[in-house]
Amino acid sequence: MPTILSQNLRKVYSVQKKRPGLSGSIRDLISPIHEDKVAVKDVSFVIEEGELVGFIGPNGAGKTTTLKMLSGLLYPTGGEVRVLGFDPWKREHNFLKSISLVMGQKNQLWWDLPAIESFNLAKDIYGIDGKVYQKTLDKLVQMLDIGDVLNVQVRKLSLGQRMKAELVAALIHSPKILFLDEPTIGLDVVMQQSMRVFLKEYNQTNPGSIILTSHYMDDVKELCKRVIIIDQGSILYDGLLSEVIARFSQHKIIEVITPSGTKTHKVLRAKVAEKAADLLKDPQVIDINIKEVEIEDVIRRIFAGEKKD
Amino acid sequence: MQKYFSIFQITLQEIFTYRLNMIMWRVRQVFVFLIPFFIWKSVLGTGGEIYGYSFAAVMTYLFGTTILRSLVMGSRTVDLGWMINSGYLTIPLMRPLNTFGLFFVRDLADKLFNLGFMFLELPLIYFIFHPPIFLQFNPLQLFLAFSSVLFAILIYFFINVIFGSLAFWSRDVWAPRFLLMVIMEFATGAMFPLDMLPQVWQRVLAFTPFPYLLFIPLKIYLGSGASAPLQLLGSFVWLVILGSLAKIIWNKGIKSYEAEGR
Amino acid sequence: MKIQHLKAYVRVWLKLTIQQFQSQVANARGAAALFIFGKLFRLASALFLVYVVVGKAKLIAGYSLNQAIFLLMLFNLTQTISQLFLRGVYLFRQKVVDGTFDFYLLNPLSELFYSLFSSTDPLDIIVSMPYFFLVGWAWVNTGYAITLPVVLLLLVIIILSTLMVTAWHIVIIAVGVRYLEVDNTVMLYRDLERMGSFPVSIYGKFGENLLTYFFPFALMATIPAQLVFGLFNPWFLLLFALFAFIQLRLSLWFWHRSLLSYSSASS
Repeated sequence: MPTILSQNLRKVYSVQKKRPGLSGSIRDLISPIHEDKVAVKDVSFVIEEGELVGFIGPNGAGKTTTLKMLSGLLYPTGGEVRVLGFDPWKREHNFLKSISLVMGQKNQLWWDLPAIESFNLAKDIYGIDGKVYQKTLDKLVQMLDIGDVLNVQVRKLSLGQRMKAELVAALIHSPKILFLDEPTIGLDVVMQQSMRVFLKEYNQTNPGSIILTSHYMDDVKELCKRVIIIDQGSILYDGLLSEVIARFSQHKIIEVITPSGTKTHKVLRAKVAEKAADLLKDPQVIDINIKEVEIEDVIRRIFAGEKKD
Repeated sequence: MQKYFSIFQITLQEIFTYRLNMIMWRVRQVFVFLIPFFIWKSVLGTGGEIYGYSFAAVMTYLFGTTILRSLVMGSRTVDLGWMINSGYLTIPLMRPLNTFGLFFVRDLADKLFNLGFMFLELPLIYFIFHPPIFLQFNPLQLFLAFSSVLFAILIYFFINVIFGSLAFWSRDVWAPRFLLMVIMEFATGAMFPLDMLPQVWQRVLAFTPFPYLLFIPLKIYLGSGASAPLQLLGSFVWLVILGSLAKIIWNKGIKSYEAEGR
Repeated sequence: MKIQHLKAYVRVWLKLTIQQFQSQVANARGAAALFIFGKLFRLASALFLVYVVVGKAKLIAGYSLNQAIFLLMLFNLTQTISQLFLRGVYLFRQKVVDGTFDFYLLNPLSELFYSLFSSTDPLDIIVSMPYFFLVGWAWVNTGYAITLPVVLLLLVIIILSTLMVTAWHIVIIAVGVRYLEVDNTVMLYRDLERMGSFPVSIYGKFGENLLTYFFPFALMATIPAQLVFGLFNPWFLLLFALFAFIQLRLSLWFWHRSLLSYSSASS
């Protein structure tokens, strides 16, 4: 049984459109205009146990909406989802005990209390056995290195420390699936890096899948083998990250190093050898490098609407 | 001036955005009239007087407080405490505006909104409950009543600023606010005419700003009760005291503003 | 619901309540005193209104001053008890807007449990203790005997009214899920609830029926008072038990329906 099965998943929001100005506000009161906004058009995929999959796409692509349907927060307008064999929307006890969601901009910790209080609460909510709880907590605290701030009020923590504490709260019941929505948003580079290191290590040492959305390519590059690229509510690509470039970019980059500096040429894949040989004829050339286009560039171009370049 | 007018407009739009809240708020204004109406009807409906008030007189009084309440108590400044605690105050502070002016303009927008809706609700209340309406034609009395309402509006504004500013020092602004609300419900005369109280109590209340919010302006309009110019003077004294206090507290508080963000 | 789940609910509720207390202590130490004072002041001014009106008029809807005071005290008690457990409603909008409600949904315990029963103020429990004595005091003043069967029936009534009040609170937050606005809806509810602090017969036939059979407000004070005065046949309570059951079922149905249109705070 696959961990997650999504078939023709679809979500349409009905949003009220506002007329401009004060008189518009009054008219809205009497006859509001509603408009359907398709957030997720038609999304199908399968995720197996143990996978760490990245959802990438620009803001408003439908990543978060998809994630929220998978976790049972939103009621799908159409299609079918099965997560661990459950229908997420029913939010059955056993389903909820096996998942966890971390949102980069939301916190589930008690704002005015030390983080440890929130963890203790989670112990009761999830009915975790005392010994197991202590063991998991110790391990997470040590991996994330936040032992010294457990007894500090959450609102006094830095954003990075808070995100780490959020992760502990989310993982304390050892979920089978961890949904991460923009976990590194707003963090500084060092903190982003240490989050990635943790997630990678966690995924390797624990069973269960991680589904991650992010618009930082670094997150995805370091963590995910497989990516699902979403734009405007549809899947553009689902497969290995390493093959994204080959699939979407028909060019390679040739760097030519001369005493006066480095020049780059963008060359069609089929013509690389020919062009390189050609370039080498120039006696000024010290060396040449043949590189793939940066993945960021490829993805940026995909989202900009050039499906192939 | 233009910028304050824009704020005025934006505030009104903001009120309209939360449609359900807005409608419920107005429905509440009608219901506020309901409970006292039935209570008084059950004891005075068949005639007679209590503390010199006949049923008709009590109804006139209640109808009057309903109107005054919308004008005086309509306020956006009640959010001030929340704005300070959430760090949201940073936004207006960074703008080239007089902060008090900004809040007051927002209050005015709220009052205008209330006034607009009153035109719909008052006929409704009138047709359901038939309270006898008293129209004051004496221009002097009208002028005094108008001034006293204006003072009441300002007094309430400064009370809100003072209570909101408590958030500079304490994260819990809801408790003092709750206490204020409970006391005001009683001491402004919103529940029943204050001259039903024993003399001693009335005198004690006269040393608080609360009767000047509803009871006294209404009494001046009705032309009954103690000397109107004297009461207006009392109202003015409170205005000056609370106005200066608000300024002092605000200036002290703003220095300890932490711009805490969540 | 299984027994072990019930245990988890009780444990979590206790912990939430204790945390609420700690959170308060961390933030505002003086606030508690202000709250208690405010609540007592509110009760005193309600009592005063009854005194001013009924004291002069001698009778209100056939009830004497002492009987009207007893009714007010009963109302105060039932209202405090239901409010004690249903404080979460006041924070509901905030929870939806800041995304905390998402976490409630993803929790193995019911989202309604958190939305309604979290943030119980332990202080309220302490404050409600003297209210029992006030009811007893007012009861003695009415001259009616305090007997065990009547006390037990009163407890049944309090439980029934609390269930109906809960149903109404579920409806209110269901509206909140849809429109993201509950504040004034709750306050309107509270305004209406206050009508229950006087004998409901003063509101005319229509008002009386509405407050008795549609809203739980007659059940909060008028009916238990009538029971004590020997004006209410206790067998009718079976009918109210049926009402409470139907209202709860309907409110839950409405709640699940409105969750379908929940759109989650965007991030």
